[in-house]
Amino acid sequence: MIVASQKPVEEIRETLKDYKKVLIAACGTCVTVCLAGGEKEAKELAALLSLSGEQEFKVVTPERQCDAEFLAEFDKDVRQADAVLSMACGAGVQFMAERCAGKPVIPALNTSFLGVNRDVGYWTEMCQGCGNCILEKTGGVCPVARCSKSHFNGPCGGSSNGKCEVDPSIDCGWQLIYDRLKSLNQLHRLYEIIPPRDWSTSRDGGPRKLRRTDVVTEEV
Amino acid sequence: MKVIVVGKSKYRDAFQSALRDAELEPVAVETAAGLKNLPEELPVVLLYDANLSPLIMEEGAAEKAVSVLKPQDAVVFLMDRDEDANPHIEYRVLETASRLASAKRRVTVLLRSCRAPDERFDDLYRIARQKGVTFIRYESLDITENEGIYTVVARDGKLSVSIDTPLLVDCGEKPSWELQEFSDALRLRTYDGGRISGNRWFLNQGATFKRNVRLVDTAALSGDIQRIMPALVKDILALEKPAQEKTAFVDAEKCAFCYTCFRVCPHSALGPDHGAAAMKVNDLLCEACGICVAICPASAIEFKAASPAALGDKPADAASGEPAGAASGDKPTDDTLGNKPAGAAAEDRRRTAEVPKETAGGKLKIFCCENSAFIIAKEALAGTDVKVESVPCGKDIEIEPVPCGGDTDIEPAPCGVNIDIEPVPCGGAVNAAMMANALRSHDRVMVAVCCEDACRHRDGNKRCIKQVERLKSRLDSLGYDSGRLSYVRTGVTMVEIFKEAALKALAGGEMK
Repeated sequence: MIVASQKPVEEIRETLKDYKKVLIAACGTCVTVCLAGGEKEAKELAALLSLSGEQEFKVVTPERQCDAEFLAEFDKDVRQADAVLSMACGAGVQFMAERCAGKPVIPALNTSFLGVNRDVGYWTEMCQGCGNCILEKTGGVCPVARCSKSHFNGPCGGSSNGKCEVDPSIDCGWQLIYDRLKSLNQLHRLYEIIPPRDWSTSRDGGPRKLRRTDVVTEEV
Repeated sequence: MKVIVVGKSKYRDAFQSALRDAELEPVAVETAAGLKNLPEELPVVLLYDANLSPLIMEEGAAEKAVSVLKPQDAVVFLMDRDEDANPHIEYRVLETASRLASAKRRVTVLLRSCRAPDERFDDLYRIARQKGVTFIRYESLDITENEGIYTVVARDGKLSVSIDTPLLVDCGEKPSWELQEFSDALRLRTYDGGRISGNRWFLNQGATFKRNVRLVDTAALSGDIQRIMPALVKDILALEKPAQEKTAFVDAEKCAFCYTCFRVCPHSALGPDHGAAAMKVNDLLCEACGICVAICPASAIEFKAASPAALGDKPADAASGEPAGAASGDKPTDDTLGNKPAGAAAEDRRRTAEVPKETAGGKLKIFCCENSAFIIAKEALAGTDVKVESVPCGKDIEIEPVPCGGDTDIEPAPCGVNIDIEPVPCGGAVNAAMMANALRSHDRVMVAVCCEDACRHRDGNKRCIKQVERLKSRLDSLGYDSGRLSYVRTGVTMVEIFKEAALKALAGGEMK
């Protein structure tokens, strides 16, 4: 899922200072699960920002801000507000902004990564959405997301005792790959050279689009 | 009524027989795997033969061990190292120490706390002192070993004592992998190292954090099963009804199925309902602590009255499905809490939540844990004008203004100052939104939670304090006076501490 964290509250207040009526739009999916932008966080933020007594806040929670139908339910609330504080990921904030003509839409979160929930309140990055998955070659551990340098053919010289030179709290991605392949009895896979890759499927190709033509009957 | 008897204890057959005599149906389960697919709320008796040092358990073993020592060698019994010793261990240690001291041995008992202040303990302690046993209370220990000689340095925060001994008897229970396996299979919340009761033996022997699981430490019984049977049977029969008149309720429409409640519930009362793609509360296991209500990121959990069928003989109005004194503060103004809402109201509630309007409040608002601070609030706040904001289900409180002064030595409470009290089922039921909303209507806000280790919901007190600290830091970031928000750890006998904290909060200070 998409993992995000809330911006410092003083930064949020600064971005909202020119608006009297603020609609706080929580998001009911990924950022709810990662405790950053769900209804509970939105209510807490509203209560905290209301302490000044100078602004009015209303909290709404679309199921997702990345689907127009869910946003449409709140068009009326948006019209009544001077600005919208979106507690969605960057995608949700932008989609909300597209819909709110003439209305400022302000982000409340810093969208961080695609990750997993390892424990209560603890998430780690697992995927960078590069658009060309090779997890079958690397024992199910992603060299793009989990090696700090995104190396494809083994660790750099900064791997020490299984840890990364970037930060000793980071596991070396290639150590993880080695350990996992060893446990699968597939160490021979390490002899297979992964060639330099075409990053056009990732960010190098510019903003990406996806279409499933089989579910489309009229071209958009 | 079926009762699962878990474990390979040598007393298992005797227990099963005693349960049958009480007209219950014991079902033996020997392995953790055998617990799979059983209904989670079935009563479970977890039989456990604690693995303790033979020097305190076996007759003559201690004498044999010291017989090879030099006459001047010290013998040290170490208690409470990982968790507070069960009373029966304390008795055995005192008896053994007295016997060795009688035989002219230098005996020292190191202990962190003694929580068995009964007559038997008093007698054994007095005898041990008379025989010459030295007792040292410690807060922290350092133990080093060199060629068979242990050097124990015990500190109590002010002084330290160093003892060299060739015989250091650790009187704690050795970890049991089998018990750990059962705990995992039963989803029992444990402390670090898999300890089930932690330092809570003094509160309720044999209680676990899961209401339907009783831990029976057979080492404590010395074979006398009948001694605990009446209480055990009573506990088992109580499981036919919910623990409280209200339980947590998950609104499946709002639930994000994130498992946060599942992971934090100290009583393992929530489980997945895959059909509804939402979490579901097991009413019979819910202890209505409100931790899940406070933490749910989708605000999908609220309190409702326990189901009429489950409550049985309760009056109709107590089981009407109306909200039951929910931990309020951030509840929506349309106030459609309660059983699963339907239609337009449900739809509206799912989508919008009004920020509560600022209301005129008193000088100080205190969120009081019902298990500690709420019980002593009347006595502690005598003299002030106390208003109880909402009385929780099944509880009654009478706080009336009484003359200033009181019978304590500390500063009297000021007359006529408005203090609003909101009882909460646990400190963990208070979230940041509730506190921030209270700060909008009150000059000061305080949260009063139970002491360290005394939370009956495991870590609700710690959760609350972390929420307070985070909110204070956010208040600081916004340039507000974070001293308006404070907390105190208290207990039912700590009236003066509660009072002092409340007066300090009124004055804008905080307890250190």
